Amino acid sequence: MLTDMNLDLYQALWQTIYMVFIASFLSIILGLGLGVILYITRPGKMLANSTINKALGAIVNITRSIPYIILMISIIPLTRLLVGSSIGTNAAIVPLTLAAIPFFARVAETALLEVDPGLIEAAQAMGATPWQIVSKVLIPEALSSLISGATLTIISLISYSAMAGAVGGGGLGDLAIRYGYQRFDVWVMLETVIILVVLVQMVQMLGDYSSKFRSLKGFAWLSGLLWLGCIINIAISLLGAPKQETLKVGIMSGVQEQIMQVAQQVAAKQYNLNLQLVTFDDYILPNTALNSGSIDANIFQTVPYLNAQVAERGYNITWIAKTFVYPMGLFSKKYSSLASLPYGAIVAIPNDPSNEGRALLLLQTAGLIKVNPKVGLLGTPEDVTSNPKNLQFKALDVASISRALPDVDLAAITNDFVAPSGLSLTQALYKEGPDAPYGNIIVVRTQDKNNPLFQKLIMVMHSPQVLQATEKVYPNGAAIPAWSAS
Amino acid sequence: MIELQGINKSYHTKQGAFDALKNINLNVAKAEIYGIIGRSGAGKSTLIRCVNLLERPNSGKVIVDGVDLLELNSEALREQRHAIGMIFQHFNLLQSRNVYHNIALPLELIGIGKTYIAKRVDALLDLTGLSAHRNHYPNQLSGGQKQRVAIARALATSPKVLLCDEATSALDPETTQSILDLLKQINRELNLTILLITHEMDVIKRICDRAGILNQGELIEEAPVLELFARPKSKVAKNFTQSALHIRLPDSLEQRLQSEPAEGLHPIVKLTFLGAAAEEPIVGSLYTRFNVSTNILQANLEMIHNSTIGMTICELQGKPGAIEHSIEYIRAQNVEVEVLGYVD
Repeated sequence: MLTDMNLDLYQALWQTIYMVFIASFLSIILGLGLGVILYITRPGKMLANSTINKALGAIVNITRSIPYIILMISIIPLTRLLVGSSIGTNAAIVPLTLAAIPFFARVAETALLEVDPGLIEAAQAMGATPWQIVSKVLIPEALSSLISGATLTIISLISYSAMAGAVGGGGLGDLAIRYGYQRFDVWVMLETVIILVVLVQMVQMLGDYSSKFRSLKGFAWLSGLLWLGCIINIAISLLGAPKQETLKVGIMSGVQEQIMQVAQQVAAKQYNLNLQLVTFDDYILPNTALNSGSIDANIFQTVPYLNAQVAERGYNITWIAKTFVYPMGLFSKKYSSLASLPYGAIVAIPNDPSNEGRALLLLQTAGLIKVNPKVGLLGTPEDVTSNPKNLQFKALDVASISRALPDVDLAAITNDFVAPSGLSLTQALYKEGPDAPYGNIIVVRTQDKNNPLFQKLIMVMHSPQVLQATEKVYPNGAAIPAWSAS
Repeated sequence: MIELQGINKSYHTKQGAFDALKNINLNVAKAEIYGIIGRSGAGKSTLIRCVNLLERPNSGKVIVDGVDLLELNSEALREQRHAIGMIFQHFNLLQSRNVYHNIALPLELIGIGKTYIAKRVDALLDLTGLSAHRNHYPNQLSGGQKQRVAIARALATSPKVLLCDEATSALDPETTQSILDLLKQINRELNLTILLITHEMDVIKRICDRAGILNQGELIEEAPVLELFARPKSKVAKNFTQSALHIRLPDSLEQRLQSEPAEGLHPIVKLTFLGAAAEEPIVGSLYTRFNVSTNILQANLEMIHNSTIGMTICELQGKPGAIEHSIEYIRAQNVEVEVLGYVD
C-alpha cells in the first residue's frame, strides 16, 4: 500500500513537472514573441501600429480575465484538435499554455518598456534593423526582468496545474485534492503540498540566481534535462505499450479508484483487457469526453442523470449495464430521529441538479416534504409543495456537505462521502432502499452498445473480486449490487 | 560633407503645431569641426537628429557625403548610417555588454567576421586608451571612460561623419577637456568631419573651427570661431562669447552706467584685440599720445586656434576731444571698440 502510494506520488510529481515544463517552455517563447509585438507596435516605438497594438492588447486582456477553469473547458475543441484528446496530461498542457501566454506577454512588454529608449536610438543610429534591435539590444538589456517574469510565470503554472485533475491530467495538485480533500487523507495532502512548496522554492532560487547574473545557463541545463526526461518517458511508454486491447474508462476520483484498481487486475488477468482509468473531478466532463471519443466508457452516473444529460446536450451515448446502488442517507449530529427535527430545521442538500433532486425525493420518501410530481427526478427547493416543518434548504457542494454536518440539523450525504468522513450508513436516520432509481451504470457510445469488448467490461464489473472490493470500501450495506435486480 | 538645405521640422502638440526648426541651411566641410550652440529648447537635439534621420524633417534636403538621405528607402538609409557615427550625452552603452562587445556591436550589425572584429576593436581600444578596461561592464566605468567607449563604438565602422549630441554635458570640466582632446585628435588623425551641439561656449572655443548659433529653431549667426568671439553680431552671440571669456562689468558699475554721454561723464569701453594687436602696448600709449588715462576694470587673454584674443574693459579719462581721438586711434590699430556706456 505504501509502495503503491509512493508510486502514485512519483507519477504525480512527474506529471506536474512534465505539464509545467512543456507549458512554461511554450508560453515563455510564444509570450515573448507576443510581448515584443505589443512593445514595438506601441505608439512612438519602432513599428508603431495602433490597430495591431489595440487588437492584440484586447485579446490579451480578454484571455487574462477568463477564469482558468472556464478557459480550460471552453477550449476543449481546440485542445482535441492539437493533442487529439480533451483529457489527460497532454490535454492539460494546452489550456495551461494558453493561459500563460498572455500573462508572460504582458510581463515581457513591461520588461521591455524599462529599457532606456536612448539605447534603441543609438542602435538605430548605427543602422540596426528592427530585428537586430530586438535581438541584440531589447532582449539582452531586459534579460534580468524577463527572467524574473519567466520565474513568476512558471510558479503560476505550478499552481494552475493543480486544476489539471479536472481534465484527467493528474499531477501533484490533483493528488492532493483527490486524497486529501475528497478522501480525507491528511498525510498525502501534506506530502504533496510539501513537494509543491519545495518545487516552487527551487524554481524561485534558480530564477533569482539567473536574473542576478543575467545567465540562462541554469535554465538551459534544466530544460535540457527535462527534454531528455520527456524523451525517455515517451520511449518507455512506446516500448512498454501493451499488446492487449485497451479501454479507457472514465471514473470519479476518490474511493472509486480503489475499486477500479481491482477491476483493472481482473480485466488484465482474466480477460486480457487493459483498462486505462481516467479520473474526473466533476460530473460534466466524463460524458463530454465519452461522447467525443476521448474515453471509451464511463462508470459514475445514474440512469436519471444520464437521461437528463442526453436530453440537455444531445449526446449519442447509452447505458449497457448496472453496477451498484450507493444509497444516499440523511444524517444528523444533533438529532437521533427524524421525528425530533425542530420546526425550521436547516437541511444541507447537494447543489448539483441530479443529487439535489435525489435528496428532495429522499426527504419525500421519509415523509418530511412533498415534491411536485411533475418535476420528476430533478426537483429543486422551489418545487416543494408541502413543507410542514418549514425545513430550510442549504444547497452545498457534494464534497463539503459532510464537513458542514455539525453546523446543520440534517444533511443529505451522497454515498461517496459517507465512509471517508468517518460515518457509516448504519448511523443514517433514513436512507434509500434498493428500489431507488439510482443504481450506477456503465455508459458507452451508442455504436459500441453490442461491441463484445464491452461485454468483457460488464463481466469484470460484475466479478466476485470487484464485488468484494466494493463491499470492503462500502461496508454495512453502503453498496448493493444492482445487476441482480435488473 | 554635411549639407542641410531648407530644413523645417514641426511637432504637433496639444497646444497646436510647434516649429522646432525653421529653414535651416548649413554646410559642414570635410574634416571640419562644426559646433552648434544654443540654449536648451533651441532645437539643437532635433537638428542633429535630422542629420542621420533619427528625426525626419518635414521639408528640405539632408545631404551627407553627396547622398540625399531623404530619398533613400529604409534599407539604403541603414547602409548610409554605418558611415555616420553618433555619440550621446548619456553615452547610451548597453549594460548587458562589456566594453569590448559594446564597441563590437556596430560591426556585428553589418555581419563582419569575428577575427576582423577582434582586430578592429583592439585598435579602437588602443586609440581611446581603454585597453585596460576591455572586459569591464559600463557600470564599472567613470563617465569619461563611458564616453570613450561610446566614441570607440561610433568609430568602429570607420564613419566619415561623427555627430556629437551634448557629448560632454554630463562630464566634469577635467573629463570634458580630455574628451574634447580625444575628439580633436581623431578629427586630425582620421580626417573625420564632426558636427557637435552644445550649450557650452567653452566646447566651441576649444575645438570648433566654425560655429552656428541656434535660437528658437533658427540659425541666427554663423562664423569661424575666432570671428564669432571677436565680432559677435547678435545679442545671443554676445552673451555666449562674454560668458566664455569670463568678461562682465562689475555689478556696482553696471548700475551706474548711463547710455548717453553728458558733461562730467567718462566712457566705459570694451576693447577686443585679435592676433598681433593683442601683443602691442596700445592702452599704455594712450596717455603719452592723447593725455588720456585708462583705468582697466577687467581684462582677459585667451588662445583660440593658436590666435590670441584679448578683451579689456576700461574707463577712459581725459578731455572730450582727446577721448574721441584715442578711440579712433585704437580702431586704427585693428582693435574692436565698443562703448558700453558712461559713468561719472
